[in-house]
Amino acid sequence: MTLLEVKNIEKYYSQRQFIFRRKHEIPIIQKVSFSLREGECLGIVGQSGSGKSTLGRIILGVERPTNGEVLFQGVNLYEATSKDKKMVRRDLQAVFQNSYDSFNPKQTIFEILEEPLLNFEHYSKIERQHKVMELLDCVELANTIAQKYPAQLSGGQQQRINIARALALNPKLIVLDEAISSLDMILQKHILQLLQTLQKERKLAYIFISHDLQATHFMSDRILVMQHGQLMEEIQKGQTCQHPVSQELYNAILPSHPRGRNKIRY
Amino acid sequence: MSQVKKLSHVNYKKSFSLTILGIIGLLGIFAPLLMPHDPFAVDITRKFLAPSWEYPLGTDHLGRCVFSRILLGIRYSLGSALLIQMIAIILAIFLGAFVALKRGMIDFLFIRICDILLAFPTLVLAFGLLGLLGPSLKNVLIALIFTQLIYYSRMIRSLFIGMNEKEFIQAARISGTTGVGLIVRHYFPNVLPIIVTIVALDVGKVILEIAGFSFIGLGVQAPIPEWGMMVNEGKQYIRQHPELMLYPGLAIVLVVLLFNRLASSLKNFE
Repeated sequence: MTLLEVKNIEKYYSQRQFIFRRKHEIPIIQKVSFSLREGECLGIVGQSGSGKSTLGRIILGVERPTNGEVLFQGVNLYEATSKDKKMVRRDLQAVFQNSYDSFNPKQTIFEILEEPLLNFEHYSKIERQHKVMELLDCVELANTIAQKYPAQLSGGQQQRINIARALALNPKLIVLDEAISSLDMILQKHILQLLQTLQKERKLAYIFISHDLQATHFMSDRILVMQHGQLMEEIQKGQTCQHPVSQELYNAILPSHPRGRNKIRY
Repeated sequence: MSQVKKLSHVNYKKSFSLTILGIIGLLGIFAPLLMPHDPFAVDITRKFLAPSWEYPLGTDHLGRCVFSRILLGIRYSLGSALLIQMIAIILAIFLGAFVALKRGMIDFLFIRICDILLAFPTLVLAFGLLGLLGPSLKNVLIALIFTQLIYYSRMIRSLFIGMNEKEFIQAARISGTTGVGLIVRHYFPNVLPIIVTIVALDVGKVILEIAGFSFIGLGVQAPIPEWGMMVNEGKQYIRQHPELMLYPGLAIVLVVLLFNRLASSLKNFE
């Protein structure tokens, strides 16, 4: 079943020149369409500035597209009534790249994780406490962390708290925008495995936005390659890439051992 | 090491000014119990008395006890300045938050109106208002609350708007927090230290403005022992009895200095 449908999304940032009032429009995203099934993981890769993050923010409803529409479970995100919007908010969550910046520095971990529950569920205080502990267990963190402030945690712990917050409402889709890029390799792998187990357990769908091709390959069922705000190619799992842009991206992966130099992988 | 030293110095500065201001505040609250004489009791036969055990700071041109008047004056000078700041900042938080969240046309109009009003110096604006309302303590309060409100609500609006782009605000929106929850849980706790510092810094300014109005005769009226008023009354006897202007003047200087010290320590500490 189709969970998310993106139709002909376009985004322009306009620069207005004051004297002549000539509008100068910079295209960020041009005519992007794709759809996503339930429980699927879709990777979006591309160079910096190719519009991946903007696309992610448009899907989340944080930013408005200039043209086009985003349908989430058949509801148009930008013309929804506030009741529909609230439902969409519940099923559509995000994990951002900069984990520390996405926490309010004045809140404890408990308050951070409690927040989505306060907004959507009618739990009592004890039920909320149980749920928060459950979430911490789910991302393999100790319960004692709940009373700490975000600044007291390590980067990996922060990122896992971020994931826990996204999971709090049992969403159907999580947009992971460079969610693991700032972590070290071992933590990256750990979190990726965590995400995969959660996906199997809860039938989650992911949109995995990254410039890290290896991680994206590990996670995704399908990969979209973007350049200059356009979709260049769609690579199915197990297929090889055809388009020169994707080939260039794949060739840029550094070999893990010096012996592997000059060999083109994939 | 130097960091530690600096911090403890700031702490000392803060606790020192807070302690003295606390004592002054208590003196103001318990003034009726501590006053040796009725500050309004006129006794012409006892005018211009030198300081004595009975009259610690002597008497003024109507034979009223200066010490009692200064004690009661804490309520009018310090008390009304604190009242003004408190009401102004609370109203400003509501107004600023409302405008910052609504944006659009309301925001645009608000900013234009603020710009126009802020084009006048604060004192001139307050003068104009007082001229319209007529001189009295209540009207001084209204005029100063109004001028402070414009300044503060604009400041709070820009503080809030500056936070709109913060990632944690967006994360909170994605978690479903809207409106009041957003302000109470996210915006407000993060701007509170800035607000406290600025409000404390301006208390001194407001005390000076109240005293200034009374001195000119536009503010508090005659028998009330406001410090600016007392300076004004002592003005006529400056050659024979300069101490009548000196005592309330020193009281104003002391309180304003303490507040400025407190505010600067808060600023450094942040």
